[in-house]
Amino acid sequence: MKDLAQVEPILNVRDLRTHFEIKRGKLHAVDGVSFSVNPGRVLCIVGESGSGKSVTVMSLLRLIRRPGKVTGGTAVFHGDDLLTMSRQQLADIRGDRISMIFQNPLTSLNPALTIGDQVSEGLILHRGMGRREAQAEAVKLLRQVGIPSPKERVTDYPASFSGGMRQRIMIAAALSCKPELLIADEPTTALDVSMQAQILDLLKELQAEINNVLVMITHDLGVVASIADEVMVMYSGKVVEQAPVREIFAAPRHPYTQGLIATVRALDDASRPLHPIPGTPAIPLGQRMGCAFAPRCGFATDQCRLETPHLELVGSAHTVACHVKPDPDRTHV
Amino acid sequence: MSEPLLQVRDLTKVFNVRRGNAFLKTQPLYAVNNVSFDIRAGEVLGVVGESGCGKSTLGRLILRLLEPTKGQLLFEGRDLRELTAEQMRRARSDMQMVFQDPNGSLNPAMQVGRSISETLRFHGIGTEAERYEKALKILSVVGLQASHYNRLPHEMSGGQNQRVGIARALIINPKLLIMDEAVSALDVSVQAQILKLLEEIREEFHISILFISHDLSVVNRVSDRVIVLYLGRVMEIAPVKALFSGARHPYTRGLLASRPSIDPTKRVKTEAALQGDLPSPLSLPKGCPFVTRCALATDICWQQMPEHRERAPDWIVACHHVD
Ligand SMILES: Nc1ncnc2c1ncn2[C@@H]1O[C@H](COP(=O)(O)OP(=O)(O)OP(=O)(O)O)[C@@H](O)[C@H]1O
Ligand SMILES: Nc1ncnc2c1ncn2[C@@H]1O[C@H](COP(=O)(O)OP(=O)(O)OP(=O)(O)O)[C@@H](O)[C@H]1O
Ligand SMILES: [Mg+2]
Ligand SMILES: [Mg+2]
Repeated sequence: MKDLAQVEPILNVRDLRTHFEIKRGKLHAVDGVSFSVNPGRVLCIVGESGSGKSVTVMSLLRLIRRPGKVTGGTAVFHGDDLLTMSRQQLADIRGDRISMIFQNPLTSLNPALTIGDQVSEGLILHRGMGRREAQAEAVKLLRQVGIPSPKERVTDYPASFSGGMRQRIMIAAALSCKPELLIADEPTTALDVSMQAQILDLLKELQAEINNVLVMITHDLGVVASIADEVMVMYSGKVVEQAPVREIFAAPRHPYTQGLIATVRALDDASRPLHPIPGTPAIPLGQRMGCAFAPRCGFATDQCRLETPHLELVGSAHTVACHVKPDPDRTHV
Repeated sequence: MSEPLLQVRDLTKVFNVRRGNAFLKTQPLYAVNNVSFDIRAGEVLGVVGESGCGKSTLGRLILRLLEPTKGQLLFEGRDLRELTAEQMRRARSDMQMVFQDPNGSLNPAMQVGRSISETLRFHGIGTEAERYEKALKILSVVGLQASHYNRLPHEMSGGQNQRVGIARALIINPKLLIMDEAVSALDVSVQAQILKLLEEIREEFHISILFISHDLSVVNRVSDRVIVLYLGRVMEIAPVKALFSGARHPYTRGLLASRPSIDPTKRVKTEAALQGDLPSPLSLPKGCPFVTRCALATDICWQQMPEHRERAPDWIVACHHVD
């Protein structure tokens, strides 16, 4: 226990809040999110589309623009709060000690720059490399992420690469400076399974080498199963469950997580009928009362509709925000 | 059997890629190489293969967003390459595509609801009010709400925008829908909703779908038949059940064995999984493109591209070592 207590998390996020001021009111995209990640660990964030995963990580790097606003919380990286440090300090860290892979590989590369220039940019800016040296390094990185004939193609523009290749080019750029904190938003959506495995291996190798932290948003539970240490489940701007990876799969306690895992199991087996979680995701608008998942939840009681559940400990490192906390077995239909 | 909706014959696309820094020298890159297949009315034809094997290029060629280097495309018996611009415009309303990247394919300055009804306006369908009604209806079909109509793409999450892309393609009742990794970026519950939706619209509209995806589970679930591509070439075409229970081509078998498990206690790779790297499309072997990674490879494989032979009804395999 004592050993555990001594490890300082590389990233510690407390009560993060971000909203968007839209016509119909305040949209609470991130509504009191907390998590921390220790060196050498991988946190995967899962959750329904629109649940606030991207806004959470964009808030950490202060990438939220009007009408959005981070209204509260702290995000401490190695002792410094990312949310309050000077813009200059943040700019120095970004792309160097922290890097981010964005959700849309096809639009986040600059179409007017060659891929070599984009992959080597960080090395020139933060590592003081000359252009030649950086380009050579870029070729090496491109080879590591499986771009064929990298030497010939380093001077090509993004348009001449396939979707999966562009995603891997982004990854190469993000890894170039060996960041201590790598935030990856759906980094493998465009990748086939063998390429995905190769990229996950690469991330693990880097982690073994420098003991860095990986925060990864993914909807792919296969990826979660193969790389995560901890899993955080979001729903409608809030964390609804958080647990070590084995526990999330073996004994999920939130009905949303249970539905999610059941859906994936069914998707995997074409002979089983699909039972997607019924209803539509809740939009976190205005004043909220009760559990956001209640309207879609088979277990909901009056309490669920009236009182907002808070995260409670249900195992040594397993928390869940649910009044009912159904037994995982009850959902196996 | 009735006439196929679309017949693709010897379709080939060669890109000329620059070689390193030498400005004038280019090298041919065969993104799609002598590909032939049919899409039948009302069927879902899956397209699988590793990153860069030519799946998106194939989709874009069919819609003529790219000009083929060679080959024929017969849509309801008519050669698409011989249509005039006006005829092509009309044919386009029968063929819609949902792209891999939702954000890149939506107009950033246009409300998403407008983007959806715009397809109708472009093809001169309905009055303004009717188009609005239809757009609202289709929004709910893809699991979005009326309140999303007025949002701009950057005010939506990635998955929400992808559903807008699907709504935009469906609203016009196309005969052929090309979905390029259209559900890959969606979380599983929305994915499941969209797949269910596809099952429903198939029955209702008798639509044909070319379903491009690297996600084998999803392809298994939605497709009737599947095409396996490798470096621009067709390796195998088979009914989905047959393919997933007894693939014949060694590449297909490797691909299927590489599927990840959703069990965190099983973090090991199986033996049959694909080994080695994908060769560069710029320096392909002379014979079968898979030869560099194939356990069955012999001399002939290095020399000659195997023919596409029908080994069983509806089951085409291109391999020297499969009978
Ligand atoms: N610029 C913006 N203006 C208004 N609302 C926004 C803006 N950006 C995001 N939102 C809203 O914030 C919520 C959270 O969005 P976010 O992008 O974090 O979702 P996500 O969990 O990443 O979903 P996905 O899996 O689909 O990417 C959504 O309801 C979205 O519509
Ligand atoms: N405009 C272009 N110029 C040059 N090469 C191109 C162009 N478009 C595609 N290519 C090349 O053609 C090949 C096939 O690309 P395509 O986008 O069809 O692959 P894909 O199967 O869709 O891959 P992914 O699964 O990664 O999306 C790749 O090697 C790519 O680099
Ligand atoms: Mg997102
Ligand atoms: Mg593609």
